[in-house]
Amino acid sequence: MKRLLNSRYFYAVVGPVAFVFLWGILASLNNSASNPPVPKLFVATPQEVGSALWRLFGEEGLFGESLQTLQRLIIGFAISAAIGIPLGLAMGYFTKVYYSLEFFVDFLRSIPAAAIFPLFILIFGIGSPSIMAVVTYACLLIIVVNTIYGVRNVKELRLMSARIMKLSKLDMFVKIILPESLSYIFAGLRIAISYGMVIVIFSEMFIGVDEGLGRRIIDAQTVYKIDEMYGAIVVTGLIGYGLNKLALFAEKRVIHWEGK
Amino acid sequence: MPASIQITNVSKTYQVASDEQSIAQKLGLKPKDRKPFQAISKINIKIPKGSFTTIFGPNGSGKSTLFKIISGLEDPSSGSVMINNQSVSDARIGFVFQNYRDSMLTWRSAIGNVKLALEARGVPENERHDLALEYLKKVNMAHIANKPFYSLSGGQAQLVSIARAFAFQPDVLLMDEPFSALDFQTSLGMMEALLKLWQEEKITTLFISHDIDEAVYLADQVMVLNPNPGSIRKVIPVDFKRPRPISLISDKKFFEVRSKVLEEFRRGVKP
Ligand SMILES: Nc1ncnc2c1ncn2[C@@H]1O[C@H](COP(=O)(O)OP(=O)(O)OP(=O)(O)O)[C@@H](O)[C@H]1O
Ligand SMILES: [Mg+2]
Repeated sequence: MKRLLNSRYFYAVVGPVAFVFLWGILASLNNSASNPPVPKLFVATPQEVGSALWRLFGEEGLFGESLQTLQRLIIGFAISAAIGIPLGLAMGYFTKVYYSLEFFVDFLRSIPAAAIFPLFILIFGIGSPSIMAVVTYACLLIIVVNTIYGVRNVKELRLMSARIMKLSKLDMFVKIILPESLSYIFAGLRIAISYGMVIVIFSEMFIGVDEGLGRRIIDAQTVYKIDEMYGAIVVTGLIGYGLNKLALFAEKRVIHWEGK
Repeated sequence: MPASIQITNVSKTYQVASDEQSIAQKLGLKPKDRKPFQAISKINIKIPKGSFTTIFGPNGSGKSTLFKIISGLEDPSSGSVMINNQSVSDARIGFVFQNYRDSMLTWRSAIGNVKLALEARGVPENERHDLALEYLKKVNMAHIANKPFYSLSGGQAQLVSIARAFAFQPDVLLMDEPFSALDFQTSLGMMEALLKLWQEEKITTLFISHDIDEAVYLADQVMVLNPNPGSIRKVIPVDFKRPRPISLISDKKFFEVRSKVLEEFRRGVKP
């Protein structure tokens, strides 16, 4: 019992369980009132959302749709990481590259992803490729900027000792700069993937695709299937939570020396 | 091969931003007017091969600056430094910093850090492990070879960084307050380990210290500096025979040399 009370997993469960419990009580109190303070139409109990999820996953293929959303996110994110990390490293390491590209980075940083939607629809057409492109765009800048910070924050003393040992430029980069910037790079990746999730859901809602979590949410809302809407929102949140945990796990494995 | 160091008329003047300009610099603007600031002035000394010289001077007397010049990280504004009659860029320098956490590779193991010096020297990969272990043995740190660097205690970490410096097979070893972050007991052990290694390898060593006992105990000669700008005040020879027992520190003769050093230091600091 004592061990249970000292376990962080226990408390990680307590919060959500208490929340669902409270939600259930408030929702049924509201719905059983003779004059409900919140219109019944907008309230779904946890049981209703649970059975909606059961239905959605069972008959309506929500699992496949979640995978589609996830796929758009992962592909967009992977492309932005594949471009953003090398670009950020180059910009951080070579001042000439930095000054040549600084304008573009700061310029694009002030254009929100939503403003780029229409352009991507023109280029890629309506559908998945546009969504992935928006995700790529949104994640790219975050990753580039964080990677530049990473390189800039390499400890001067470490560079000095490397220079004294006459390490080649390549060795200096591979053995010192890259490992040391990893913590910033990972921080960037983590922020980017969370932001990418926001972008992918948002794009699915407004770019005409037939499938995806964002689509589900907006479709359920327009026909007042409130339980299904909450169901899709819960799934979205859970995926986001899982991705963040996964990213943290990967970060701990790769940067095992961090914070010690 | 140990080398002699010939320092001839070395001065260093930095261009520094004035106060209001240094704020501009922090904001990323290029400071417009810069004033010259002389950090060291006309340093002249010839340091014999294989000797141990400690440098004793107040804060800001240009000790670290002198090390940067000897290691080729900074150019002198005038004068020259020759190591074995060659320019510093052709010499191999071992450097041990006070801040081992920021100068070593936290992401590698202890032995991995020593290997970096071997990689820099171009030692073939299959020989690196055994050789790195040899150097760790010399500082009695073979037992922590595979520990991650971040997990080492301050004393262990600094011994590993000394092992790394020796593994580079330097012509000259520069140590900038290497023990000042360690407690008294630990630094006694460090001094012993360092002297043992130094006597084996016979590497010309310059050692910056703020601890007068340490400075006298280690040295063949103590170089006392004047501040503002940094210059040599006096070079005081220390000829106790080696190996020196640690009890030497409480000896009367030791006390005499120590007083001489302290006297010069105080005269230098007085306005
Ligand atoms: N890069 C630089 N630009 C401008 N001024 C500098 C620079 N490096 C050092 N100085 C100045 O030169 C003087 C000597 O500095 P240095 O670090 O060599 O002193 P030090 O003897 O090592 O001092 P400490 O005992 O505090 O380590 C100081 O006044 C310092 O502010
Ligand atoms: Mg200094």
